Amino acid sequence: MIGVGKIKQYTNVLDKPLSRGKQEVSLSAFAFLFSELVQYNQTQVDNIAELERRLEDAGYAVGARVLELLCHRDKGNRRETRLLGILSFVHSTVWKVLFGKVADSLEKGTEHEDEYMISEKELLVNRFISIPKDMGTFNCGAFVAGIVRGVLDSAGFPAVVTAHFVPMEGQQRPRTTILIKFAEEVLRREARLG
Amino acid sequence: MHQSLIIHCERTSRKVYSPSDGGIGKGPGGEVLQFNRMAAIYSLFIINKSGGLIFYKDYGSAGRMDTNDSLRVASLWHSMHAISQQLSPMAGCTGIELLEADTFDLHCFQSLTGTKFFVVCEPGSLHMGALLKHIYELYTDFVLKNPFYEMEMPIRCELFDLNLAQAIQKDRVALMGR
Repeated sequence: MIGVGKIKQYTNVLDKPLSRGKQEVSLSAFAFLFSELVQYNQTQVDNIAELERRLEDAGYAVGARVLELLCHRDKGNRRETRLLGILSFVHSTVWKVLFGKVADSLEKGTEHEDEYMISEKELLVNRFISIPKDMGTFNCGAFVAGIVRGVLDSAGFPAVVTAHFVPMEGQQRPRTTILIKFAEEVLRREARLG
Repeated sequence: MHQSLIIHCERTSRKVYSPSDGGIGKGPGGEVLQFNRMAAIYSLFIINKSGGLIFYKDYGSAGRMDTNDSLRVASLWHSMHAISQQLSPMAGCTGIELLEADTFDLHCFQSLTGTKFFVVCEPGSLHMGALLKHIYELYTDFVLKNPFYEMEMPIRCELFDLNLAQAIQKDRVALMGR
């Protein structure tokens, strides 16, 4: 969605590589489109869990495509096969292409071995969204959770990914944490690879 | 083409600066003025295109009113605004922009879609037009881009409240500095 391209000066126009085009899209246009996506899905469901699942599914399709594209564009048709490698790929490469910056933090869960968290102080999709009180803990970050699940699943790391609001001390707004819980088989494979 | 009507209500006194009030500033002629520590803005209204009140907030104790009164003021203003457009001797009038009275000024901004934003403030407050445009910007960002907001309905958006409070606060700080 939002990327930052570096512009190098060339004296001869023939030396200049073909441009990759404009990489940024208007944030407003995206915000309105995303708002419509949420509103449309809201008319199709009768509970919040269902809405969350639908947003996640929409993100999943994006994630699967983003992985394909970035492996080709940035990694010379290779992709990460190790757990930490793919996590940092999501945290930096994917995030940078989608949101124009790397994610604020990537942490390992303290209670469970199979849990990792990507946290963002202000998630791009949530920038203009206020959740009504009657919707409880619903988070539109479910869409981003879906993107992460799409990337991980397509790369051979099946996981359950959810988005949560986490209140922060001294901050008015909670941050959004994307919680990644890998399937057992992934951890077994990691252990075997050493 | 945007002709606007300025209504001047009868005015006996402009403003009384009492020495017990807050800060000190310079007037346009260089004279020393005493500024009120109270907010320059008394209240803010947003009304939808049919004249229904969708947002109301009062700042400080002056000019506070109950829910019924604020609804009444909103729909009254909507009608007066419409009438003023018809009354204008010039074609293309967009309605009242400023109403000046003894004890308050009312600045109004109407968006292209007919949503009206108006503030009631101390007489002679400056830069209210810019503040209203900024509030309109916040409205487009945090209300219209929020998927949980229903058009023409009362505004209940946490982010809008938060950013609005910041904008008003900033305006107040700027006022103290002037």
